[in-house]
Amino acid sequence: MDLDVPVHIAGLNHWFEEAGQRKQVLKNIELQLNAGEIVILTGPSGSGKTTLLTMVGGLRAAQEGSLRLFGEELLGASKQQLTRLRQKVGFIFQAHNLMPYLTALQNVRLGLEVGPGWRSQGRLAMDACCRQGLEQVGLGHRINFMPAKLSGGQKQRVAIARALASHPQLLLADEPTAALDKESGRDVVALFRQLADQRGAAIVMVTHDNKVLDIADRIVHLEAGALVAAESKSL
Amino acid sequence: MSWSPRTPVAWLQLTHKPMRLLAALAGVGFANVLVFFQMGLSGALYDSQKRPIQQINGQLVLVPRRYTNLGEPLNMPRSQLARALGVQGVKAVTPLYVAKIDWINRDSRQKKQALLFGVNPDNPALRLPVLQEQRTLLQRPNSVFFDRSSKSAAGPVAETLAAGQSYTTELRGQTAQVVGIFNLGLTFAADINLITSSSNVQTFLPELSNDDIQLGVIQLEPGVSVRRVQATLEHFMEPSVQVLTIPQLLDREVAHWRRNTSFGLIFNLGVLVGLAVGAIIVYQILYSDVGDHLGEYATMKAMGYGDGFVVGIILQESLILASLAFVPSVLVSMGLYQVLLRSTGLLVTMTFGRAGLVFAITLVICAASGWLATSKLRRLDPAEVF
Repeated sequence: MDLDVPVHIAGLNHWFEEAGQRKQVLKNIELQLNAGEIVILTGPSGSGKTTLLTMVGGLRAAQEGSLRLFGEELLGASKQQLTRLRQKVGFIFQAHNLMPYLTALQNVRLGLEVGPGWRSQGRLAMDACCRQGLEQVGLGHRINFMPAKLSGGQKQRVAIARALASHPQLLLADEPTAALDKESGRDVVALFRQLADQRGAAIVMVTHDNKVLDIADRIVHLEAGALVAAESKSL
Repeated sequence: MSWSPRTPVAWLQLTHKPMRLLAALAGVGFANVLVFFQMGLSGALYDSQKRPIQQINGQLVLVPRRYTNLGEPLNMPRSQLARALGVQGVKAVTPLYVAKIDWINRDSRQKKQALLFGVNPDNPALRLPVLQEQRTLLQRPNSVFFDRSSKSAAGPVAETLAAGQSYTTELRGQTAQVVGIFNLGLTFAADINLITSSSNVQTFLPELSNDDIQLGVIQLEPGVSVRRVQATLEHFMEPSVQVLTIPQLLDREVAHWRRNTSFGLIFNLGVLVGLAVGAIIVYQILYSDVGDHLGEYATMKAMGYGDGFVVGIILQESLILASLAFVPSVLVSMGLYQVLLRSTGLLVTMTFGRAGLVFAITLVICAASGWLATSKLRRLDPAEVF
């Protein structure tokens, strides 16, 4: 078992039950994601991108083949096992999915409190850490704002700070720059690059945003459930 | 290094929309007040039925075996009571006459039913101070004492006496002069309580045989075992009569109201309705809360929070609702009890026991409703966030 390999997928097949018919959504996926690597996942809608992303995030158990997160096999994994694994993963959703009743800082804290060991840090250290996370995404002046008082781009940046709060070794992002203008989009992916380089986090990003493709180490293309081309970039 | 509490998600979510929280609290509070009202009424019913019995001046009471409650007096021969005097440990016996009689409001000429107690002035069967202090008045022919808590429809009796005037009316066509006021409290048996002397009982109720009494009060020597004397007395008495301790007499009174009348059923149903209303309100609030925030809960699950955490939020919210609604509903209920006291003369009190019971029940019901409301949450698939 290689605990250092965040994601290792071999011969992964997945089906959905649809109107009594089994429909295959993922076909014989082979993919390995190393620490510090950024992979961009592209493909038309319905190609299985989201399914693959949810499986890598521990949101679904694997049905056939092998899917290992940090060395742990997800084939037939239990609900508890998935929940525990998800604590090691940071999610950034297409919609920001912030809690409307929590301030920006409290939302970020929710991301920090999910993992083990946060209690011992103390409230002050935690708040400092969350504040720093918000400053990193350029929201140091919006710490105690409710989401309703923030713009779309600001909300997305709070969501990014939330996903990064617990220092995940694997970050999954679904169209993270869709709600952002060009400049903030660049800032976000630059932050991803920094995270990968400095902390060795592996990052999977689904995006159609051509402006940020250059940030990736690899671009993986899905077509009708199968990986058709894995373009490796020479840096 | 300090221990850090978790961000109070449930509290922040509840207080995020204050008007909605207020409406929810009003709903739970309303259900609480409903329960308090029903419990208060039924408690007062039983308490007020007990009060005359608690004033009986003795340790044992002789009653006909078929006796059920104070409001339905049955006759038995006085000689049975006299027999008790021969038993060791018995110091004295004294009759308690009980009868229902029509009272006429002097001013409106309206008839009201009164419960008339007759006592021996030399050894009153009821432990009311006024009977000792004003014994000479009690001994006067045609004199009665009047309960201050009688319904106001009886007429301004206490006020008239307080003003130094006399109040004279009639009972069964005989002149009756109110000579004193006592405090006993009404029962459901009648609207007015009266006390008179045993010889006056004959005046007002000539059809009652001189040999008949309704209850026989047995007073014991100090230090003797009530149970042992009771057993001995049972042995001596005819099977048509029975010797009861005061607690046994109280039990029989309460059992009558609980079982043989619809009161018990009505009040229990009322309590159940109150609880059901509370449960439905809390369920509705939390169920719609779950529905409205489904995406947020799915997000939490996707972030790695377990079922226990998200279900815990709803349970915490249900307990917060129950706790916040409690104190205001106690205050409102106490106000309501005051209104009841003024309009019915029923002494309804808020006891710690009752408040604690209602709080405990509210917590359980709220938690149960909260749990029911989370079924959707437990089935929620975190993959739905994408």
